[in-house]
Amino acid sequence: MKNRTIKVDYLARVEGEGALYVKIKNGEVENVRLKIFEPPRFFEAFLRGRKYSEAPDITARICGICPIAYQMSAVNAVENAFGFKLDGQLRELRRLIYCGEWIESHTLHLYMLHAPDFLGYPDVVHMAKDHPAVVEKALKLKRIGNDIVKLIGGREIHPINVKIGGFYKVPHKNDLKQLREDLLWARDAALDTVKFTSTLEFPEFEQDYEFISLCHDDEYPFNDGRIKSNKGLDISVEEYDFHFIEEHVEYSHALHSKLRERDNYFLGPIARYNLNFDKLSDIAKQAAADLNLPRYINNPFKSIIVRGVETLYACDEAIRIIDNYVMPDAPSIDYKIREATGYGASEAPRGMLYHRYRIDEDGIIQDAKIVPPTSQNQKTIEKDLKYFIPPRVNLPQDKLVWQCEQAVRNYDPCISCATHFLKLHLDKED
Amino acid sequence: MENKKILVLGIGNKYRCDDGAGIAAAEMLEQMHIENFDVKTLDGEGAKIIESWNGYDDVVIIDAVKKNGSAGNIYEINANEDELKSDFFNYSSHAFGLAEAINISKVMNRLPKKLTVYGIEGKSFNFDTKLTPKIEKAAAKTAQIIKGKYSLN
Repeated sequence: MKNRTIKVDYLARVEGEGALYVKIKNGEVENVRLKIFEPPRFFEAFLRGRKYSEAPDITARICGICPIAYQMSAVNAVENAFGFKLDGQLRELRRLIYCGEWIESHTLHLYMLHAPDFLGYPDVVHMAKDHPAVVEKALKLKRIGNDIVKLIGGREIHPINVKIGGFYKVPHKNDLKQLREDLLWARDAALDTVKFTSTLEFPEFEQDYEFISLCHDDEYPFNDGRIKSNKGLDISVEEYDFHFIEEHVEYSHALHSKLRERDNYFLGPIARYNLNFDKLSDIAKQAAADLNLPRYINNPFKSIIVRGVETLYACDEAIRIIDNYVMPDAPSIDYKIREATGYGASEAPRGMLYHRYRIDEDGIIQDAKIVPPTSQNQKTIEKDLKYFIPPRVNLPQDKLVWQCEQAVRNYDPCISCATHFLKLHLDKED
Repeated sequence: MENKKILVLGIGNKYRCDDGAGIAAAEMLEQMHIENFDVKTLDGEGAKIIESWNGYDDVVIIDAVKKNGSAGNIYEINANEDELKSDFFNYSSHAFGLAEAINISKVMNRLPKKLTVYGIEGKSFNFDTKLTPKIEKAAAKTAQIIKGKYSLN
C-alpha cells in the first residue's frame, strides 16, 4: 500500500505545543511541515524599551525547562555589549548552574519522555508500573539537578540570582557540602543511566548532518567558545547573523533557521559530543569507551545515550567546580553601561541558544533577537522524517506514527520555548 | 517528618494570560498569611510538582484548565479518587505535567494522603501578562473557597 491517509491529532511527550503534518504519496514523503508558534518573537517585542538588567529574568520566563540557558545567553550578550567577560569563580559558578540545568533537563527527557519509546510504553506512567525503581532513581537524579539550580539560582523556578556582572549572592563553600555528597550519588546514577541507554535498540538511520555547537579550547561548552561545525564553520558568536538566516515559512509562526552558505543543521547533545568529545571529563570518556559508543555519532536516535553521557559529565563537572570553589570577594564585578550591540550564545540542553541585544546609552534595550535551538533544529527534524518514513511506509499505521513521534523526540524539541502541544497529522494518499 | 500544614500549590505561566490563574489565586492566599498554609508556585513541570509535595499529607493545587464549559468555571477534583487526564490541563506546556505527576505518583504510592485540585477554566491563553477580568474574579473566588475550606485562621 503506497498511498494512505493517516491522521493523528496529538503527539505526546514533546515539550510544548505545535503541529506536525506529514503527507505521503506513492510511498514518497511529499510534504513535512513542523508548525510551531514561537514565543521568543513575543518576548523580543516585550524586551524593547526595558532595561538591560531585566533581560536575564524576562527571558528566563520563556521556558520553564531551560530558564538557565535563557539567563546565560542573555547575560553573555549584555556583557558582550558592555565589553567584558567574567572569569575566575564567577565564571565557574555559571558553569555550575548550567550543570544543574543539564542534569534536570536531560534526565527529564531521557527517562520521562524518551525511554518509554524504546521500551514500548505509551508513556512514563505505564513504564513506572513495571520499572518503579528506574523512575524513582530518575526523579532523584533530576532533583539533584534542581538543587544546583536552586542553590546557585536562588530558586528552582525562574531563578533570579543571576545578574549582569555575576550574581546577587554567591554561596559559601559550606553551602555546597551537601550538594557535593548528593552529586557523588548522582554521578553513579548517571553512569547507570549511560549503561541503561546503551542497552536500547536503535532504528537504523544515519544522515550526513552538519553538526554545530560552541567549541572551546579548554572545556566542554556551556557559556563560551566559537561556533563551529563538522563542515568547516568556525566563527565568533558576533558573526552569527552573517552566517545564519531565518526564513519565514507560511505554515509556521516560527522562523526556519539555516546556514547562509549551506542549509539546515543539527544542534544539541550529539552535535556537542561529536565536536567536543576530547573535552569531556575522563569519567564520561571512559563510560563512552566502555560501552563502545562511537567517537562520532550520526544516528539521531542515539541522542538518548549522549544525553546520558552529558548528564554524567555535568555531575562530574559540578563536583570538580565545587572541589575547587573559593568564595569570591564580591558576587559581581563593576561595569559601565554603554551604547552597543551585544551577542551571546550558550549551550542549552537542546543546543545552542543565541541572543542579540541593541542597547542605548541609558541601558535601554532597543532591539532584541532570540533564536532558540528548537527553531534551529526544525528544518532538520522535517528532513529526518522525509528520509525516515519511505523505508517504513508499509508499517502498520500506529507503528509508523509511533516511530515518527520517536524521531521527533530525538531532538527533545522544547516547544514550550514555542508553545504547547505538538499535534501530528500524517496523511497518506490512497 | 510529616508536615501538618496544608501545601497550597499554584501552577501556571504568568506570561500566558489566564494560564496564570493558579499562580494568581495562590499569590492571593499568600497575601492572606494563613497560618496553616504553605504557599508555593510552580510552572507545571511534573517532577518538580512531585518533589514539592514531599512531606505533606494535605495538598491543594490550583491550575488553569481548558474544558468545554465556560470561562471562569471552577472545578474541584479529588485527585486521590478521580482519574485525571492530561488534556484537562491542556494549557500546561509540559509533556510531563500535573496530570502525569499525579498519575505516576499513584502508581508509585507517592501521592499525598489528600490531594485536591482546583481547576479554573481559562478564556485566553495568548501571550499576555494579565488575566482576563472574568478569570481574575474566578481566581479570587477560588482563593476564597480554599480559605473557607482549609484555613484555621
